[in-house]
Amino acid sequence: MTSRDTAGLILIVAVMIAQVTLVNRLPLPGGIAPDLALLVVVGFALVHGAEAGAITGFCAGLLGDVVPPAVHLTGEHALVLCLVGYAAGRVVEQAPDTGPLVALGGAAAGPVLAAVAGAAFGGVPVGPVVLADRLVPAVVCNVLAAPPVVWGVIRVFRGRTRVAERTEFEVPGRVRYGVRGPLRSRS
Amino acid sequence: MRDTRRTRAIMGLLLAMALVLMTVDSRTGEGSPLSLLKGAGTTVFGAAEQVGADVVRPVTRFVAALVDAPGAQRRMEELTRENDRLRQDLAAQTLDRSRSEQLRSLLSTAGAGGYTIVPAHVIARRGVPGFEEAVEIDAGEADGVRPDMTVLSGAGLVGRVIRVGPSTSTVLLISDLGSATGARLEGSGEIGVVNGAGEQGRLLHFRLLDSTAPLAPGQRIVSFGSHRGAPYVAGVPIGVIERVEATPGELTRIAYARPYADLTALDVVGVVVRQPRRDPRDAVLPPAPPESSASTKREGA
Repeated sequence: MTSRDTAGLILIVAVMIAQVTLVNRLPLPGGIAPDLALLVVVGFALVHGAEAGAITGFCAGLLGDVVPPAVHLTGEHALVLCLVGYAAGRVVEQAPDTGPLVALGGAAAGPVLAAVAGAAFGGVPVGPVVLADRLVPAVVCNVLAAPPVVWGVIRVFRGRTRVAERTEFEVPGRVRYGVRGPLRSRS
Repeated sequence: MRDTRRTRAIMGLLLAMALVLMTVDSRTGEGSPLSLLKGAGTTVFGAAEQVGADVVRPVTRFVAALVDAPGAQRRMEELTRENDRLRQDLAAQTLDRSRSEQLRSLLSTAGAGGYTIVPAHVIARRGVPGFEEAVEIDAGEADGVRPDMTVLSGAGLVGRVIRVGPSTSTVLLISDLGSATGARLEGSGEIGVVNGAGEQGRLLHFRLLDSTAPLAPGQRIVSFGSHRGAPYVAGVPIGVIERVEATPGELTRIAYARPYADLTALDVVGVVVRQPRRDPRDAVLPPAPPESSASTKREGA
């Protein structure tokens, strides 16, 4: 486990706890709260690419399935975050300039995927009530929260890797965005 | 790209793992290897959440104060009025009390005792990600809390305990879209089912099983109660009917109710750890049919 993974894990655990104890309980208008774990996974995938994004997403989601209070099936959230992490990393690997767009897209896709997964496996009665009352506000809230949170996460993770890269030589943007290639060493 | 195949393989593996986990969890239920994992999670993260909740409580209070500020003046006036009214009521009640004491001893229910309730703080809340409405409270196994116990607040029914850790437990709220709570109309005693209906938990969906029974806005719903009070004890107020849907030709009638408990801003709740030895007077349950005699009768016929 590299220091990168450790930092990611610690950040995810802290974010999960903050999410359920603080963010979800704030009396925000509409009774909604941004899904911080999702935004962290998206940010991580933007920095480190699809593979790291998928693995981090899976681990973060599994953690979210275990952190109380959890009523849904174990693995449901892992599936959702794994897919989002992979997709975000994949798109940004193909087109490195689309970072902000991918961040917003990932933030919007998370609740939608969660609703689909919930309807398919968890028995969430997806109907007009869920769509209008939970899904739309969740998407809006996530998209609003995405720019600052994802930007912060990218700063945290890229700040570390950039220093290591600079000591060698200038790297093309694609590699800097986190595709594991020959330039980057990983123990 | 060099790593694409590997990435895809990893991705496939992770997705398969997630699906297997879900299948195992949904098939085995209690006693599965995953409940061990969940139990460990409840223990570890429950403790962390307790600490976290203590740290962030001032923050939550501050934000709540800010958000509530515009309505505070109006609310103060309301409370002053209510206070006056309550004071008058209190005076009247003091007169009534002695009479009521005598009546109670007459009915010899005083010795039966009331509900035993363990108070608890809400320390964590789950919102949209899994489309579930659940909270974590800081009372657990050590406090006598067990799964399928009723949770209520000062105002009304909140939900039921579904998982218990050493010092915390998970409560599924009645506003959860997937949960179902037995309820009856106060007065007529007609039976129905309550579940979440949106407005972020400020509205409940009430399905009345008898489509011919009268149902009107303003009627109150109370919990129906289940066998031995698990998961819901009888007679706890749930909410008041706000509007009735016109559903011609359907077997059930649908209404929307406003819950008494403020399910979006829960703080102090109580867990009913022991119920009175006899049911409260306002919710008399029919005696459970004796199973052995029923089965022998069926065999005989």
